[in-house]
Amino acid sequence: MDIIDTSNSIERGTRPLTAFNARTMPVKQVVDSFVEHEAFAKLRKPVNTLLSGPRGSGKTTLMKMLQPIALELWHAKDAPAVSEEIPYTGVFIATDRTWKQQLEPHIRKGNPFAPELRAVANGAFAMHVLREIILSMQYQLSPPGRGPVRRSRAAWGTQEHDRFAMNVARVVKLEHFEPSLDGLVDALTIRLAELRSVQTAIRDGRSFPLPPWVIQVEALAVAEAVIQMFNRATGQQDHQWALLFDEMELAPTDITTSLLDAMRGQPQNILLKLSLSPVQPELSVLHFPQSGVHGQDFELIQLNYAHQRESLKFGQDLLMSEIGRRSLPYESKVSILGKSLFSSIDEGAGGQDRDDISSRRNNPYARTSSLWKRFYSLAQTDESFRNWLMINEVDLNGLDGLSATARAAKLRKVRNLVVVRQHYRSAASTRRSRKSYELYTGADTILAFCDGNARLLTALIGQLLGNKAVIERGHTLSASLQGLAVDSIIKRFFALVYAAASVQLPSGGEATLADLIHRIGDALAYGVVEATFRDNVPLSFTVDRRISPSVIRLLQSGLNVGAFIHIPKRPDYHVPLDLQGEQFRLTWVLAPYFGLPVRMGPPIALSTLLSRPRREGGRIARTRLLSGLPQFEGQISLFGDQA
Amino acid sequence: MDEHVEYEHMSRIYIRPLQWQAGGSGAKRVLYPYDLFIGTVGYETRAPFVLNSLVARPALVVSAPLSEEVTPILERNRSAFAQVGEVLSHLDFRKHLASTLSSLETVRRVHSEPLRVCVDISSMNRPRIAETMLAFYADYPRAIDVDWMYAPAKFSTKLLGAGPVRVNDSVPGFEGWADPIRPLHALVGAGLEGSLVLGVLDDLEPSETWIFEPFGIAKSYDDRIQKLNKDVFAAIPNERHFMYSILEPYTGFLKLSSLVNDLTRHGRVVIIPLGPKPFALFAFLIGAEDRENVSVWRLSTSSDRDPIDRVPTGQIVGLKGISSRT
Repeated sequence: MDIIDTSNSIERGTRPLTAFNARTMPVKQVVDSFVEHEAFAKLRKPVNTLLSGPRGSGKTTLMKMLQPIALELWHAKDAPAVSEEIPYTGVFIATDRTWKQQLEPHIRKGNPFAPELRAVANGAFAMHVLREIILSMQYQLSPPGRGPVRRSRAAWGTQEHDRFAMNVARVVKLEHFEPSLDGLVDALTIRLAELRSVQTAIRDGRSFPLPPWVIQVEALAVAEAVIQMFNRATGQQDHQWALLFDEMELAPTDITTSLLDAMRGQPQNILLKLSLSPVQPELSVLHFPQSGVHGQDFELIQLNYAHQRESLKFGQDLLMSEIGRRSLPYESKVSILGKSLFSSIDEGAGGQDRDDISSRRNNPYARTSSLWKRFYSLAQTDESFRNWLMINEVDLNGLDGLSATARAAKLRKVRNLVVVRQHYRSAASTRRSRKSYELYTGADTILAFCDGNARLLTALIGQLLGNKAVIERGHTLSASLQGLAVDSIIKRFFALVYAAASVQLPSGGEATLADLIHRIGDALAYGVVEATFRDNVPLSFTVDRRISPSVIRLLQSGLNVGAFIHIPKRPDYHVPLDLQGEQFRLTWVLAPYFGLPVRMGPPIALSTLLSRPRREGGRIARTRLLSGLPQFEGQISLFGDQA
Repeated sequence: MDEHVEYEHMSRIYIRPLQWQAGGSGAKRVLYPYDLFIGTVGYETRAPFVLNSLVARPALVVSAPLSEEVTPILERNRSAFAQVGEVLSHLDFRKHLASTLSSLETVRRVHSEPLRVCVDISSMNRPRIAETMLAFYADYPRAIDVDWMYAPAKFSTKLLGAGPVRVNDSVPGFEGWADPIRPLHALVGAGLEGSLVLGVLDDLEPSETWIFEPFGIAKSYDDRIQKLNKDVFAAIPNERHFMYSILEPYTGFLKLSSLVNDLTRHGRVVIIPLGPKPFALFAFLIGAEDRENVSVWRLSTSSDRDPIDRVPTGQIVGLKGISSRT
C-alpha cells in the first residue's frame, strides 16, 4: 500500500471543540458511536453499581446506553440478547459543573443559613430526579418505537393515570398542577425555578422561610413511593427501575453521600447506578465498617486501564468500528496506520514483535532494519548501553541470527527503551529536542497512547480519518499526519490539565497539577534518556509517607482527569483516598511529550523522584507542542522545602 | 409559594451608550458631575487616568486596592486617590460600597433623581467588577445610574500569554440557576489565555460554543489574539465567531446580549469573559439582569497575579447602566 502525505488542512469548524461529549449528544448519536466493551456487560447486571473512571473514560456513554430508548435503537448483532439482560427501566439523571455551582454557591463568611442552603439544594435535586423518573414513565407508556430492538412497554387506563398524577402531587406537596404526567413535569419545572429566588435571598443573608415541602422531600424516598405507585397502576408490581446518576462528583457532597449510603439498604424496586471520578472524598464512606460492600451491596467497575493490552484492544475496536461505520476500505489497523517501531503490549518485561519472528525476511532485527540501526546507533554513542550489551553478551552484528527465545530474553525487554533513548539522546549524552511525534505513530503505539480514554480516542480517530484525501483512497496515513494528530491530542489533554485549579503549599506558594506532572515526567524521562542505561528503569511511582497533603491533592486531581493511572494491587481494588502505598504511572498520552516509552516499568518512591535535583532553568529540551499552550516554567518546589 | 414574600430585589438594567461631549483638549469627555466615583488603587499607571480625565469633579471618590500586595506604582496611586477621596480596604468591598451608597443618600440634596455613579473598571479585576455590580444592582434598593468606564492600555509585549490556571469556577453571585435538563451554551471572550479555554470547555461540556474575538487597540494585540487562539478559532464554525471592537462597547454589548436573549429561550448560558475587560463588563451586566439563566465563569491564571504596568492609550470608552427596581 502506498504511503502518501498531504498538508493537514482541516476546514474551519470541522474539528470538534470538545473532544467527545456524550452528555450533550442526542441518544441516537450515542448509540451509533457505541462500541461495547467488558464494562458494559458488568454495568448492565441488575445490581447496584459504582462506575468509576477519569474524565473522558466513557462513563456517560455506558450509563446512557442503559436507557430504554438507547437499547431500542441499538443495532448491534447481539443487541436483542443484551436488551433481554436488562429487564429494568433505566432513568438517566445528569448533572454538570455549572449546576453544581448553582446548588452549592459561594456564600459570604458568617452567613448563618448554610443548613437552609443545603435544604434548598436537596429539594432542587429531588425535583430534578422525580422529573426524570416521570419523563421515563411517559416514555414507557408511549407506543413502541421503530428501532431494531423491541422492549416491553407499560399501559394503564385513564382512571389510573389521573389517580397516579394526584398521588404524586400529594407525595411532593404540589398544590397547583394539571392532573397529567405533562402537568407534573411542568409543575416540577416551576418549582425548580422558584427555588432559585429562595436560594438567592438566603445566600445574600436575608432570612426567609423555606417552603415547607423543601424539608419534607428526600429524593430517594420520593422516587421509591412514585415508582411503587406507577408499578401498581400499570400492573407491574415487581418491575425494577435503575436510577442512573451520572457524574456524581459534580453533585453536592451531601447528595452523593446519601446515595452511596443508600446502596446498603436497597430501596424497593430501585437499583442505583452511580458514576464517579476515581478519587472522591465521598467514596471514603465505602471504607467505613457500616458501609456497603463491593460484591455484596454493589458492584464496583473501574474504567482504569492499568495494562496496555486492555486499552489497546479498546482502541482497535473503536477504530475498526468507525472504519466500518464510514465504509472505508481498510481491513486492519495496520493497513491504515502502518507498523509501530515499538513492540506492542510491553508490560515491562518486553512486548510482542509484530513481525513473524521465524521469518528471516521479516526479522525486525535484520541489519538493514530501522530497529537494528537504532540499536547500533545507540551503542556508538552511549557507553552505558555498550556495557549493558557486553554484560548481557549481546553481539549487535549477530542479532538477526538469534533464536526467537534468545531474542525475547535479551532484546525485546529493552527494545522500547532503546528506541526512545536513541531518539532523544544526543552524542553529548544529553537530551535533544525533536520536532515531531512521528516516533509514536504506527497502529499499536498510536492506539495505545490514549490509554483507553474513549473521549481522546474518539477525537484521535476523528482527526486521523479527517484526512480525507488519503483516507478515501485507502492509503496508509503517513507518520507526519499521525504525528500531527498526536500533537493535537496532547494539546487537548494539557488544556484540561492546565484548567485544573491549583493547591496551596505549606511554604505559602501555589502548585498546579501541571507543576507535578512536569516534575514527574521530566524525572522519569531523565532516567530513560540521560542516566546510565538500565533495563529496569523506573517508569511508575509509589506514593510514600513523605509526600505532603498538598501533593496528594494534586495527585487526586490528576487521577480524576486521567493524568495518572492507578495500577491496582488486584483488579477490583479501588484506589484509597490517601493514595498511600499505591502504584501509579503517567498516562501514555504524555509519553510523547516527555519522551517516555509506551510501556510499563518498575516503580520508584515518589518522594525520591521529586527530590531529584532540578536542572538549570527548570526545563528540559523536549518536543515542543506545535502551538497553543503556555510555556511551563517549572519553578515550583514540590518536595524538599515543603515540610 | 407566598406571593407577598420578597425573595429577591429584582433589577431591570437599561444599557445605553455613554453620552460624550468634547473636552478642552479635543478629547471626548463626560461633563456632568457624579455623586460618586469608584476607582482602583491598581498596579498600573492608568489607574487614576479616568478620574483625572473627568471635567467635573465627583462629589465623592472612593477606591480600594485589589490585594495586600504593594508596589511603587500602587503606592503612588494610593496617595493620588487618598488626596481626593477615601481609600477602602480590599476586603468586603461590596459591603463597604453598600454603606457608602447608603450614607451618600443621606447627604444628597436631590432625592427625586437616582444617584449618578462613575465606575472605572480599567484597573479592576473580574471579581471586583462583579462585586461592584452586585452592590449596585442587587444590594442597593433604589434606581441608580452608573457609567462604567474603561481606559484601554497600550499593548505590552510582557503580556505574552497565560500561566497555569489558579481559579476555574463560577463568579460568586453569578452562578445562575437554570434547569439542568436545558442545553448549556458557552459564550467565550477570546483572550491571551488562548487554548486554555479548551480545557475549561472540556470541563463544562457545553452543547454549543460561541467565541467573541476582540480587536481595535493595536494590530500587535489583534495578531497575538489570533495566534494564541488558533486552535480555538479552528474549532468554531464561522457563524459562531463574532468580532467586537474594544472601542465600541455598545455594539459589542448588543451583539452579546442579543445572542444571550436568543439562547436563553431554550437553554442555559455560561459566559467565560476572557480577553479585555469590556467583555467582562458585558457579561456581568447581562448576568446581573438575568441571574437565573446566565452564569459567568472565571478563569484566573498565574499571569493575572503578576503586576504589569499598563499605560493608557488616552481613549476612554464605556457604557451607561441605569437600573430600575420592580
